[in-house]
Amino acid sequence: MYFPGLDIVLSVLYLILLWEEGKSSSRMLLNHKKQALVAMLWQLPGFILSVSVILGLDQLTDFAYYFIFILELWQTPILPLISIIPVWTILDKPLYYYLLFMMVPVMAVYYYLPARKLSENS
Amino acid sequence: MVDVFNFLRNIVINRSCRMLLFPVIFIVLLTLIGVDNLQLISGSQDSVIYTYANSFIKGEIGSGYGSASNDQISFTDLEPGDIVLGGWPNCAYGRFSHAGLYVGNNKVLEGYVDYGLSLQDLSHYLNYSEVCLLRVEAPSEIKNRAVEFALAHQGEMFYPAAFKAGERYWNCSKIIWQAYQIQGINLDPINDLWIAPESFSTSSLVTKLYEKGN
Repeated sequence: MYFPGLDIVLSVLYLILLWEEGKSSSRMLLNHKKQALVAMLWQLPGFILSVSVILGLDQLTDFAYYFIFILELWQTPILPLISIIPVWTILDKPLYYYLLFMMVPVMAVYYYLPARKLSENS
Repeated sequence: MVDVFNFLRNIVINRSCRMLLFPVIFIVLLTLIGVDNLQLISGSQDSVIYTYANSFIKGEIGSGYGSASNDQISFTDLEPGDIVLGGWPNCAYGRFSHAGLYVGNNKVLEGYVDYGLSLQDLSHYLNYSEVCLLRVEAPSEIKNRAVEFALAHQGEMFYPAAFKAGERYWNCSKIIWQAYQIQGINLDPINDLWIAPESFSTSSLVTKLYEKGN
């Protein structure tokens, strides 16, 4: 049993729900700084994993070797969208590898944006 | 059509529905996958999920650890299309943690998170404490076509938990399995959801050229 493209549909649905959740949260918090804090806390595991890999801390222990795998698993909800990007290689590494790191702040900003919009409108 | 759109819109807007949507989708998909793979649930001890769960209980979670071995292995008999397996002790998903497809000129096509599907030097298999060289029993033109298929997917995404179905996520074993599968050779004897390097060594369609460890 395999439904080609279902992962992409679910990923888009995830982004729609996330945007709605960001909107509903901003209406509850009524403060874009608090919303930013929530966004940062939500993506904190991603930030920690990304920084550890970028600084080479993933080579310090045997377990830390798995940080990059955990980061990729962390990005699973949006991975279907990354997987449809053409295969480009930058400095010997595929584009999707860089996106694993970049999507951590991008997702935090995505969640925070509705609060910014609300604060601008009020 | 408008009704369906409004129904979906209400689910997204209503916070309680929104919160329940993904857990419900998860349960439905898990049930469908479970029903479709009852043969694995009913105690196939070779299945990846069984092996991983068993290892998890023992505290083993990843590809295992070990120090580089200095053994000399001769790779001179390898032909394009042969499979190279490497493993460390305590690997959670079987004796072998990694697989590569030999493509000739001392290069193997492998999958890594940071390089995706990529060509690497064969020599790094010297480091593994467990090594196995396998030859798929098939005419060379089929093996060459398998190699061509694998090479055409260079740079594509590595995902450790990639299901066998689909061609957008790969891991080191799936690309080899798929390369042969589309040539009509199924190297997974138990038709699992995932394919682990171990499965190649138990396939009746390969012969062992060399084995080190265990």
